[in-house]
Amino acid sequence: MTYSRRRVLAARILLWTAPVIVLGSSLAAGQQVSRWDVFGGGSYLRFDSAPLGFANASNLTGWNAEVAYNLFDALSVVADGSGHYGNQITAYNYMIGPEYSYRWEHSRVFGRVLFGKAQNNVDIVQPTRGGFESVGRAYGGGIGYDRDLNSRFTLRAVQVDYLHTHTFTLNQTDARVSVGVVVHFGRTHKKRRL
Amino acid sequence: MFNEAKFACMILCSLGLAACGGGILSSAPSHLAFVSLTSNNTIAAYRIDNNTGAFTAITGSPYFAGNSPTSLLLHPSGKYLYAANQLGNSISLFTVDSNSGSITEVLPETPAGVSPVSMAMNASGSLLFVANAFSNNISVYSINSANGALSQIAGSPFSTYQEPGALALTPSGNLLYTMNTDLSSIIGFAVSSSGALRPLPPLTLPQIQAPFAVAMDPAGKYLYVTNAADNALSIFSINSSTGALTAVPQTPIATGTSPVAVAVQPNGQYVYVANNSSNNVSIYSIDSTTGVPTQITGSPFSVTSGPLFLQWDPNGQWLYVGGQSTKTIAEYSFSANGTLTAASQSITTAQTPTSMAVGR
Repeated sequence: MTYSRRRVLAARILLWTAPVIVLGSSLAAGQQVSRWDVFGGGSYLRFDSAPLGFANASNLTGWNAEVAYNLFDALSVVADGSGHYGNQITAYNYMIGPEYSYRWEHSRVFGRVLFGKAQNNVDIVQPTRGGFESVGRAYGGGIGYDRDLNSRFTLRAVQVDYLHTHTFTLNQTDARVSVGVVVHFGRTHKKRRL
Repeated sequence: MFNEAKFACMILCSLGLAACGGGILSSAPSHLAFVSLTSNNTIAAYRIDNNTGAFTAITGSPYFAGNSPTSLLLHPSGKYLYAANQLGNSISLFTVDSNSGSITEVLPETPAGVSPVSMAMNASGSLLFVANAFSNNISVYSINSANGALSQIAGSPFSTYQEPGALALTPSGNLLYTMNTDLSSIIGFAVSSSGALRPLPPLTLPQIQAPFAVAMDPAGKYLYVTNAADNALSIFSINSSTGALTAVPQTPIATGTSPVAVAVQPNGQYVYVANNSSNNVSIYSIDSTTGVPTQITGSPFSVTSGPLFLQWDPNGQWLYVGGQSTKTIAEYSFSANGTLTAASQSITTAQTPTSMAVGR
């Protein structure tokens, strides 16, 4: 092989392997994962009010917050709380459960399973009472996508949850969508690349 | 003397059904239904799916009402529900939340005569007629369309014969009939635009024997009356000008035992009679020209034990039968040939249901 041909071959090898080298080095270096993540944002809940005698399902809006403790890079424990408000209906959910994450570059997708309690209030005013309230079990799960803004803050672009609650001796099947901001606290042994 | 059996079986005038839109189809996916539970002074509320007939109890149901709500009537707008409180001698007004299905009583209750047992309302929802069994009169109220409030009109209550029972009002609102079981007679009134009642000349109806329940076809052509004494159904054509009643040929026609309720299918082609003691429903097809009834094949049909009242949904697809013995509302689907098929769902009420009102 002539010198010029060796140079061309070396360039080609370098051209094709450089991304692998860079990617491999970034993977090998790993992402920095905080110990604690705190999420807060706005939320929409499609509440299954038909079983309660309403003409249709109800559209509620409110808030969603959670605290996540990252055990490992891919596994966390999440404590989730939300409150949603609408015409005649108020719905609170408090749940906890495991969450699995897949992280790359500045992104994260996650999925989780949640268990806890639901507190639903129906504002039907009667002469002797101001409304009807029921507390029951709740479970559900969902997926979401986060995008890092910097080392401290992350944008939760979307989080979709399915919730099943049992209140007023009846079952409700709700859908929840939340967006907001995640704030990171503490660090794990891995280093997050910005 | 107070008749406990009559008290237990007094039936709301089925013209309330016509006033709620008999024959006018509803496009809503569901409709609200209210059931009086007289013995515990409450009203149960349900939402019923128009397609499946499935019942859903309304949150907060049953709701407290007055003393012994016996008859229920829903305003044509669907916004107001009226309950005649037989022992409270009053009329309760409830506002209806169409979204949640809940009802809220508007206090204070409106005074009526002694023992209001049945009600009728004109098609526009501007007048309410109440038969007071033990004060032997009929109270007439104007209805405020903005809030459903009742105001007794000048001259009300209007005297009538002893113990007026079920009421029937023509769709035009110009004629009112009351059943007088004890006198085996039907009393007719001309109704003015203000609601004032003027007694019609006495109606000579020899075939009437203890008339108990009454219904009118949606067109106001025929009056259907159950004769409790001889277990028969009488049918009269109505002279819309004079109010005179003329017996239809081949009537009265035999029913089952103790016919306590009668209802006309909203299309006007079939008439249903609930027979309390024989636990069945007699079904008759009606000739639209002559009014002559013909009992359909398979009639009478077995229904829930001790049928007490009949109520159609606004589309004429479902017939609800209140069961005195079973404390249930049994549901039956209607077929084009008039036959009934028991639906898979029925509801059990905590107490004996005494009447039912169904919205659009």
